[in-house]
Amino acid sequence: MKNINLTTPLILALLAMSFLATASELPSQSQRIWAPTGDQIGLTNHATLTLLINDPHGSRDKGAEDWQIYGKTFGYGILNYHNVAESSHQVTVRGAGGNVEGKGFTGDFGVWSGSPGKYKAGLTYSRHATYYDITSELRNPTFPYPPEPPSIGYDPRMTWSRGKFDLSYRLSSAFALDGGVIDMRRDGTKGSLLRGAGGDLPPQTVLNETSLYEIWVGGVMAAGNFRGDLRFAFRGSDGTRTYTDVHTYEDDRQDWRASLDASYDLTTNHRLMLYGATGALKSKGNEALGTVEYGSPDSENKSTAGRLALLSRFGKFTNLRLAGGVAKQDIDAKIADADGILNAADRQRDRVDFLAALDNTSLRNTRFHLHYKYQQTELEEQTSNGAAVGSADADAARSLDQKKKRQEIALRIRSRLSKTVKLKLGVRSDTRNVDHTASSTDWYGAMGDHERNRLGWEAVLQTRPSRNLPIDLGYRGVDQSLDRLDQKTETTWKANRLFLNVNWIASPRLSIYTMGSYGTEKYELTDSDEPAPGLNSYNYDGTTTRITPGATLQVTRTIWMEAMYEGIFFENKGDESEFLNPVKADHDRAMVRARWQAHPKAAVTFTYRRNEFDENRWDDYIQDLYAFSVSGVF
Amino acid sequence: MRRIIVLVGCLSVLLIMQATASDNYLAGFEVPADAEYIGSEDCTMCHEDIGEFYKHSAHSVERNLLVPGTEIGACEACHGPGSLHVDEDGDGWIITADDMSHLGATDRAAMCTQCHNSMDLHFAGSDHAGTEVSCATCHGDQVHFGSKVKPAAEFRSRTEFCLQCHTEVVAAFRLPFRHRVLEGEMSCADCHDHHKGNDTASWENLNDGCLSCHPQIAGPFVFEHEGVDGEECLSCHKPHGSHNDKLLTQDGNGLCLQCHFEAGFNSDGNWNIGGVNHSPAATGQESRCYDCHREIHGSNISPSFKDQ
Repeated sequence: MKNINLTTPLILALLAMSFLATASELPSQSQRIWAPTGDQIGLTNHATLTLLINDPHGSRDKGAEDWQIYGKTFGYGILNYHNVAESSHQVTVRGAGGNVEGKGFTGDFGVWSGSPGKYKAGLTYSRHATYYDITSELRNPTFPYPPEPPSIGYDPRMTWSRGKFDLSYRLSSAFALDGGVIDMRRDGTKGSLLRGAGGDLPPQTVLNETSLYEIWVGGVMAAGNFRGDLRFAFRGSDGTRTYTDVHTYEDDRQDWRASLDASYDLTTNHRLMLYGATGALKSKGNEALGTVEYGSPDSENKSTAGRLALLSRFGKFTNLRLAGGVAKQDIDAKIADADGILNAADRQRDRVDFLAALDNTSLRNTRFHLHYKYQQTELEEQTSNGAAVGSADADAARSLDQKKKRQEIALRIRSRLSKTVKLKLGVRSDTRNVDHTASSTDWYGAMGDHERNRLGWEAVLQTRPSRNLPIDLGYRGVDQSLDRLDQKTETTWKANRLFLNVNWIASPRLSIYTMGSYGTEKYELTDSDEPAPGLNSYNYDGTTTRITPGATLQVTRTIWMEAMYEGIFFENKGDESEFLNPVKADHDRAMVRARWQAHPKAAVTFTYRRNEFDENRWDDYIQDLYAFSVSGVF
Repeated sequence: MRRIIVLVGCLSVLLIMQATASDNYLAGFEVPADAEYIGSEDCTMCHEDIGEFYKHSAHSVERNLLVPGTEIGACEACHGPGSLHVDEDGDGWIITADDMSHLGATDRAAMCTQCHNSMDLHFAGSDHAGTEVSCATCHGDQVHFGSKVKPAAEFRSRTEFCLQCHTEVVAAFRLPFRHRVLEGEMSCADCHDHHKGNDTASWENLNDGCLSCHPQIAGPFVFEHEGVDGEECLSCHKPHGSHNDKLLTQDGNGLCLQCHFEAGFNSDGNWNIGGVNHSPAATGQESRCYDCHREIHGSNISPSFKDQ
């Protein structure tokens, strides 16, 4: 496999740029390594046409899975058009797409139109191809690469598309109506989670031929101190999903929901808010195991929720939010064949929650936020096998009572310490207690009583040592333990993340920037032996380092250059042993772009990109992409 | 439940009794008692350039859009009653741009939501409310540039506004398994209603954002894994990006064992989980829990989420 060290030449290029900067205009390109040539934010009229050549090495399929680029040569275009007529009527057209993804034309296209204060409408359509690798993961050293792992004999590809139309119309200053429709389809084969089924087995796949549509209408009303927002939505989804000839689902789901948001200003400082929603989800269809029909589900989930809140302001400095709500779910689920019910469940879930949040700015240049949340959920469930719930004919039955309590308290402080230094501090504690009473443990390994405690905290320092040098430095951490009170076991999760953002406008012609982050994440089962041969890992001890230096430079009055590098280095050494390799992954992405402004309204750009992936779980690859673009503004 | 409702009700009454009257965002200013609203036509007689500037926006004087329920429109909607300013040839009281720059984020948002009332309803209860974020943080200086920098709801640009502050999410979107947001296939708003929040609205289902595109996970199932309705999808998935397939938080059996770890598991030859022997002798190379428990979101067939 081709392998070239990119880091050194990139650093040299960045250094060279810093010696070239002398002109008077600021670089316009921001730090967006993901953005294709010509992709601009805002509504300036512009278009770009790109000819792209892909020079792939290694696993072309894994490269396609990560970047959705499949093939050798392509065209790719970007269009943005925005016009405001003398009548104030506005039209915006945006599009980005081509045949890069190797499955016909793919991309996004949208048209928006509107007149301020009267109406606005939007129509968007997206179509994309998703690829999946043809081999499974390889973590077990028994199955090193090479030799070539077993693969399926075709490239799993799934196309998904989504079309959306929405319209809102203001009847008067007090009333507005809106509505819309969405259609989304998936068609093709995608990789299943069973791609991790073992290095000596080919990956499993899922065949999807599904569609989803949704229609919604709503209205907004404002009259005096009252605001109201009423919505109604209906959604249907159907189609076929097949898991590698093992299990086939014929989906047929329909759900509707209605919701009302309302507020009433009791006084100028106190607002009462009300929320209510109700809905139902029905599922029918059919399921088959292999070629044998199993049964047809006939299930329904009815849900209702209500919420009352009070938002209050005290003087100039204090805002208080109080809210309380209830929610209820009633689920009746069953599956039956021609002879009757096979399995059934009757499930009721009731929730109550409460929130108190306080914001205060009475201390100079400082904002405090404190909130407390409480939630209690009660679940009553009965399941049966061979007959309806409660029937004496049931072959087996189980009942479950569960009570969950969740409490969260959080404090955030943001203070401007000086004109150039801002400090943000935050801490949050989240506790859950679950009491669990089941009539039997025969059916599944339900968890008994357990308790989860999570503490999170963060500190962020935003500094501006000079006008041209903003530096942000931050730290975030999480510490969680989950105790199975019934089993007297404990599992833990600890995560830390340190990040640094630097943007240095070194001269009017040169910007240099870097985003860096370092994170550790550790999941552990306390008092457990390491996995035996034949089992996958239990623990997780991951370290991720990411660094993205970059620079933009105006070389001459008409020539711009930019270079960016992104390195993501990941290692998971949880349960590293003679049976399990640690996971090591290097992602190197780089881009160098040179633009010549040949005419005030036209430019040509040459772009080189590299996506390189080296990991001992999946197949490695390199994508070298060469692009030539012509851009214009109009 | 009844006690909480009573508590909320009592607190509401108490707070209303303590309230002091003021005029929303105008509470931050000392509005002279004799200042009156006179209409915005007079403003453009002197500020002609600004009138031209607003011409095609919803804030244009000619369009005369009014704050709902009032006769106040255009300039005075934000700058306050202008009679004194006009009477004294531009020297009298008015809320200037400099005055506005001292407003907190909540009051800055209140200036906009007096007309954009559907946002008023939702934003006040959102996670962004009470922070430094106000309308202009994302929408740019839309007020002054009218339609020229309107981000609207277009794909691509919509996401970029969120990522200005949520930089850590950029890093997640660059991992090998990810929702393709930076690629423009979807946007933050497909999952997050940035004008709303979970505090006072849209609470009925925490997983709603996921299930709107993945309806097959919604069931309802006869045998339901807790993640579907009792917990969050986030218990097992990292929705922005992950090093692991299917956006999982871990790549091995530890993901399941974080909750299902039982005393004595994998010690002294004991491999029981839920009373079932999970000896590796019964499994294959690199065996994972979901090799067998594949219907992990829920099943109509198997209480242990298997295909049999």
